[in-house]
Amino acid sequence: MLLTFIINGLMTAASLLMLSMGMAIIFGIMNVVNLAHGELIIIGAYVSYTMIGILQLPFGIALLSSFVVTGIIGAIIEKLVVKKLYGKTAETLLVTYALSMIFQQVIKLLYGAGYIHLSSPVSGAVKIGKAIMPVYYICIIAVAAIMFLVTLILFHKTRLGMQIRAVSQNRTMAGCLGVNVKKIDTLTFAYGAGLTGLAGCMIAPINSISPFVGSNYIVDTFMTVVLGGVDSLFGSVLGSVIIGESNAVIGGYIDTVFAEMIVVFAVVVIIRFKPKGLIVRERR
Amino acid sequence: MKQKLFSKDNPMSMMFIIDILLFVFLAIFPLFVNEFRLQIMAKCLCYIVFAYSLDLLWGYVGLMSMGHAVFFGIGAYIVAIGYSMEGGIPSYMTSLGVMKAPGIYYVLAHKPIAFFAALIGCGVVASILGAFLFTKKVNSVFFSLITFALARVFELLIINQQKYTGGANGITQVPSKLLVDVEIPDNIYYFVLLGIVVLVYVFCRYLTNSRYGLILEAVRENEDRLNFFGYNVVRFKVVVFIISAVIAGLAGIMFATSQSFIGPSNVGISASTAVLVWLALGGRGNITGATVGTLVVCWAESLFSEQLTDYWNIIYGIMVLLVVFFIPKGIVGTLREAVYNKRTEARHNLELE
Amino acid sequence: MSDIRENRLVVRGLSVSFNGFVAVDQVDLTVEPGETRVIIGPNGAGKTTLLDLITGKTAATAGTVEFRNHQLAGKSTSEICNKYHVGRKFQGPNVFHELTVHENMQLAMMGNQSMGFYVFSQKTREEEERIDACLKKVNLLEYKEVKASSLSHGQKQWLEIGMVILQNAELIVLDEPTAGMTAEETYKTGEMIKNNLKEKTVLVIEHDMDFVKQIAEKVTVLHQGRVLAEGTFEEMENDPRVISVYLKQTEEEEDAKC
Repeated sequence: MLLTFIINGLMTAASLLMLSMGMAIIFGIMNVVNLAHGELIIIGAYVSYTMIGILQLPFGIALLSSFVVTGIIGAIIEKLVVKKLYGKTAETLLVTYALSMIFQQVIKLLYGAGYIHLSSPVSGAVKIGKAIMPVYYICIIAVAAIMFLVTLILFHKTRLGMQIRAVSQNRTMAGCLGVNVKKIDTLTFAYGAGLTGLAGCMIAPINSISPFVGSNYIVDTFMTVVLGGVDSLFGSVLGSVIIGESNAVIGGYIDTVFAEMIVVFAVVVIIRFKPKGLIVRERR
Repeated sequence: MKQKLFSKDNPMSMMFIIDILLFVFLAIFPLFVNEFRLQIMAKCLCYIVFAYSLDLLWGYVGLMSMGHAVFFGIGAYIVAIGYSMEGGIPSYMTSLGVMKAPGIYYVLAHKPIAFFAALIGCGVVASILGAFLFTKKVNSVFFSLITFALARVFELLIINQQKYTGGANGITQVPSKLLVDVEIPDNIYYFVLLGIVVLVYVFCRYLTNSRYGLILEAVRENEDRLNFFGYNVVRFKVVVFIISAVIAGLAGIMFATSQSFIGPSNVGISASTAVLVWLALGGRGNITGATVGTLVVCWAESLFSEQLTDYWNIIYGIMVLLVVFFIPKGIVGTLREAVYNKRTEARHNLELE
Repeated sequence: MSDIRENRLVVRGLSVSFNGFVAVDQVDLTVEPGETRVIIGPNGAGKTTLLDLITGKTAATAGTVEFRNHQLAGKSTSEICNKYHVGRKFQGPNVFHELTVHENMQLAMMGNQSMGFYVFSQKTREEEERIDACLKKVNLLEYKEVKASSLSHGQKQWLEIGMVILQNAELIVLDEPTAGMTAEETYKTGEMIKNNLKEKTVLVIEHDMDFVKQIAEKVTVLHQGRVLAEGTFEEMENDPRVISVYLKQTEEEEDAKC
């Protein structure tokens, strides 16, 4: 039993990590709380539905196009709306909530209100002891790991990443040193949004997707990012493992709603005592 | 030294005039409309009280609760559960084969007990949460996110516990009774609701115009500075959170009993964000804005969603965008600012002469 | 009101360190009742941190702060303010921007009351008179109904000074009260402090040397978290250690400019 739950937890953790990495970037680095995050996931899923379900294109193209499409949408959101609200928390929350309403309705108008069905591109399962792990879940874990590594390399080994971190730490100074702050903002937001869309594409075959389920994801992804520590991408890994495992194990033994409740309460307690999350970067 | 209520020197006088006009309008409203419209307005009245409760918290103290419908829901559900016990085990339970309600339900079947249990329940939850969160300075974003998550969990819990809460279908046929065991007809209940609105309004107005209200605004403006004048800021935040939660609970009671219904969609994230939108549109931190915003949005919603069901959410979203970008202080806040500027300008001109 | 002669501030061995960096190091300081003491020192000398320690904003790692023979170290800010009558003006104007000048003053006056007082009591004529008198002292009487955010920078500083005067504290701590003021405003501020805070124990941080000369009875020079020298303004002006510290800083500033 426990082994099954732990393996389930690992799969949940991997998809959580994937789903919340975009938020870790947008919230952690840009300090913007994006309530339309769930809808970006759903947009990614619908893009992949369009590519695979309607246009009969291969999965790889769906993956790429969901990244690109949501990335472009992210850039547009940043340029038109979010840009004017940096530092205004309440307004950002209201506006991104409004965007989420608009996205939901537009998706509904385009695709209808029902659930969409996508079959996973790979089938089969691996047996680990008594637990069964579908191959597609292994793909998810792999993709999550790749996304994470690529993001780390992008942020810490490239010029662009250095600029992104510089802007995040001191906008004015970075601007004085010749960094195009506005462009970096847009790129960062777009990258975060793109990753979120890509994650949406990955989870589309295994989760039930309709225009209105975006809000199901938003609390869990927030919890993941906040629990681990908004400052650090490694925090999101830790957060997704803790939340994924506890949801799976508690949910397996008792009930999924109680699992969610316990996790939320635990995270609230942790925020109260460690407001910066579990992983805090040393700073004087 | 009392300031005169209606005088050119009192910046509040414009607010009072708008408020009185609004309440007169609400009082004569039943003369002109059919029962269907009256029912919508009755719902608006409950929402106005709900908006007042959040205005105290968000408008005055600057604490943006994104889960305030939890308190609305606690109030509504306790009363709905209690009141629907009057005909024996309610149908939402029997249809699932539950033949014996939990003991507490029989206690709540007494109308006054349920009524006060609902209010006290809200107060207790708010005091625990408030004392827990405010004793250590939790960042305002985190306060919003925590309350947001709680709203989500509350909604899930209500849906999940179908045997005891009616689940996704909610609880229907809640009797239209308030404190005592007397069924009130709809057209009279409207005036009962209006009476509650006016009472809560007077309370909020008194509180915010007192020294206490000034301190609340100061907490919003500069919490740290206030500490150095010897105020115990934490105590102010906790107390106002409790007051706000109890008023939200009262709004929930009004809703469940006047609409004869309460469901999870009235107590979750969408209900919590809706009230934020009313306040943003009307203007926060002046009570009047809460009335105006609620009336405008609720009527727009019921009229538009009759005609353009598919487009309402888009219109709604665009409206929020427009408000944030073009009238960030809301309708009433913008008006008030204009009056303030005009007065300072007039004074400035006077000085020049 | 208790005896003014008791208002002595005694700081002994006060230290604090952040992650191993010692910001304030074994500071001893005695300010006599009714004295106006100015603390000067180059940037990063630990002046503001010292005030944070005295007013309870930061907890000290070691040492004691005594005012009126009561221990302040380890107490909360609101307690230090209420029980021991310590008032503070912050660096840069720190007021309630969206509230009017009058409301700002009202807030300064009614800390430490019961909930019942806040909810039920009405404004009194006596309070109005006190506020008006105090606004007059800080040249803001005509601006009574204006929002603090519409005041000029210097006026905001005065508003905060007015609030601290009205607060009726016995120990008043002022962190760079003239920052961002014109020379004329600075002079007026100096007179304001001299005239209105005569009987209080006052501790001021300041950079403007003319201003220091104007108000200081005694000057303490802080350098790298330690007390470097203490004495009258003239003594400090001619103290070789003080000169070398300040000269070094001016050179650094010159370097930075290039």
